[in-house]
Amino acid sequence: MNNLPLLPISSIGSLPKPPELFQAEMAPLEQQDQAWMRRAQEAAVADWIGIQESLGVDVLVDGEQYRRSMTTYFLEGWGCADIDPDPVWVLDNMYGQRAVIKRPATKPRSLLLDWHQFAAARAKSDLKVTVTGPYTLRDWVFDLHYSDRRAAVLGMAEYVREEVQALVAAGVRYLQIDEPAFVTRYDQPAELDVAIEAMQRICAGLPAHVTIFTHMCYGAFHEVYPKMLELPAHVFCLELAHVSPELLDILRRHPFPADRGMGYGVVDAQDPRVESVAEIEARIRLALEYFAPEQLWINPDCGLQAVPRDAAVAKLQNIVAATHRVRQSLA
Amino acid sequence: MSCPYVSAAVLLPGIASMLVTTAGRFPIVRNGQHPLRTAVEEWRERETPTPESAWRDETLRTVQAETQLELLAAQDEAGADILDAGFVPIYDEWFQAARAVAGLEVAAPLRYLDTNTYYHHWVLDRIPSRQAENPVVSAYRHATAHTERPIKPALFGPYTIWAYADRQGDGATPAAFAALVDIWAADVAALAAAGVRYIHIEESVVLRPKHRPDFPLVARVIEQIANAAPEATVIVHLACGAIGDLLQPFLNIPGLGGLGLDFTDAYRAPNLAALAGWNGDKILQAGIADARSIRVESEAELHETLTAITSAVPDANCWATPSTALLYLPRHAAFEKLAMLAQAAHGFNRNGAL
Repeated sequence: MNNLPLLPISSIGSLPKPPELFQAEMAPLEQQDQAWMRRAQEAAVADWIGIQESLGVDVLVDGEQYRRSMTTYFLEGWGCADIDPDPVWVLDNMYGQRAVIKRPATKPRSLLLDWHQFAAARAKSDLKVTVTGPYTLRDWVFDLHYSDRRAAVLGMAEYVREEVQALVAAGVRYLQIDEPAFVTRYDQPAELDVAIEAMQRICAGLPAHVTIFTHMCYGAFHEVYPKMLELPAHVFCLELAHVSPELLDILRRHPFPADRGMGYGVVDAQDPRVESVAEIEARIRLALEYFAPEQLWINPDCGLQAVPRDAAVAKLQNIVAATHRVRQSLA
Repeated sequence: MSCPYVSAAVLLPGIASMLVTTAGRFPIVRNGQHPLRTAVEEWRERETPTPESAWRDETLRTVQAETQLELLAAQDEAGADILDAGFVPIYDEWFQAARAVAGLEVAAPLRYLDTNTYYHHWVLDRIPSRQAENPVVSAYRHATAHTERPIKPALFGPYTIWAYADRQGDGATPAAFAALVDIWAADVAALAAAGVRYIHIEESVVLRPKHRPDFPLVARVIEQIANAAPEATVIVHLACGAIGDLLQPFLNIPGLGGLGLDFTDAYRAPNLAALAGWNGDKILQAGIADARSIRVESEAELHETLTAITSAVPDANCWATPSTALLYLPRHAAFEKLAMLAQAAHGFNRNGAL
């Protein structure tokens, strides 16, 4: 884990956006003032880098301040999809716009490179770059282009691979491929296999110094464990603040392999209530019953974009405090 | 127990066509600022947003009721014969149903099946008891007062709530499950008192590998619910899964009026194979239009699936439906699908299989 401390702290990806940016990005792309958007996005990325460093987070994220969503950002950016005009219900009274894949990519697959360079120029600490995985890029959108799901997933994998190649060539060492949809079709082995094959294609030949993370959330992890270990990730970042007894049970029966890492989610990313340091510490100590300290990363359950900014900052602050307490006791 | 079945000829005098119905809720919001979204935003500004404050808010309830009528009209226009009640919750249906249970709290949202949508799961830490009516019941009354079409209200079943719940202490006991079923049975009895003829119960989760051994719990749910509404046809819908060896046990549940199955790409072959064992006079709610895909199936594609289905299940016992709730699609796509489904199903029976 390079020069990182025991129990390195990171985030999952998204962080709350300034309200004016959030409002502005709701408009159709062609109606957005791109120069204003870029300035607002850069300011928001710089702000979050400063906040994470001041809190003592070990591996920073850029907060995905320039992404309208984790799927539409890539599919629109690559030119292979249009956004359906009718928003789709997601949760409570929240709606999201969905992309519809309609053609092969028409634009370069290096969207993240520029943002990574912007963030890296402002960060003293290491950065982790997050990219949505090919299975989720297909599963969470609609497709009118590919002949079947497998073809679509593998098509997306090629585009993600090109993004990843550009990032690694630019020196990225921590790379997270988000696959939250991996946990949804556990009754269809062929679906899991294509998700695994897709990530294998992306990661094939990457240098050994690159640490690959993957992230999954809000699903029945116990249904895809230990199958998930076939994904070529070094670290699995899971939403575990409310870890299920079923997962703990299967971890007792099939211990997590010693050569893989666990990014243990310790705060709820949907609930604005800020967990106390003691609560988080208890969750980390529970994690230590199942994973060696050297295997563990500490992170929120998911991107914190859904909670207010103050709550997100406080959650990260308490994660840092709780992790420091546990580190001291381990020392 | 008899399973009342109303033929197409009774519902649509003069048209002996295959019936078209729905499989749960619909998307509400269109492009632009729908009145419901405006009302929600205004409510969030004047109140602390909770299910309880949403329920008390007269302005919000008025817009919900108007939106419900809009959804009924849209189904009618698309050509559905038996309509969903058009329930318009402000939160998800599990969250809304929670207010019917005393002292119940909900926890973080969980992804439902393979949808990229999230429902708040319940924290069952005690024996649940009923404190109010499920809002779907009042939605049903509102719907029937505004249309002469038959209405089939859709309820997530108590097993689904149980399966996803965080169960602790007394809330994890068989007595807690029994109490949960009692609550649902009381709501179904209220629907029956209001004249309901068809009830859609969503229990798809039982087809997941982990949950299949819980079939006896679902059977108990159906039997008790059917007893609470002996004049109604109770249909259990099982989307996103293959029925396999559970077909016969389901068909044998006393009081079950019909079964909904998913005939979209991933499950078509196994569910068609299972239909070889179909018997009796129950309704097959055939989920032939993929409610998880924006692509509208052609009439020929739908006819092909119907031809395969009706080689095992008599036409008269077969209702054409989306594979699951159309809620998960953009609104325009949902109603385009429903319209094509209606066209295909009505044409199928008039013309015979292509």
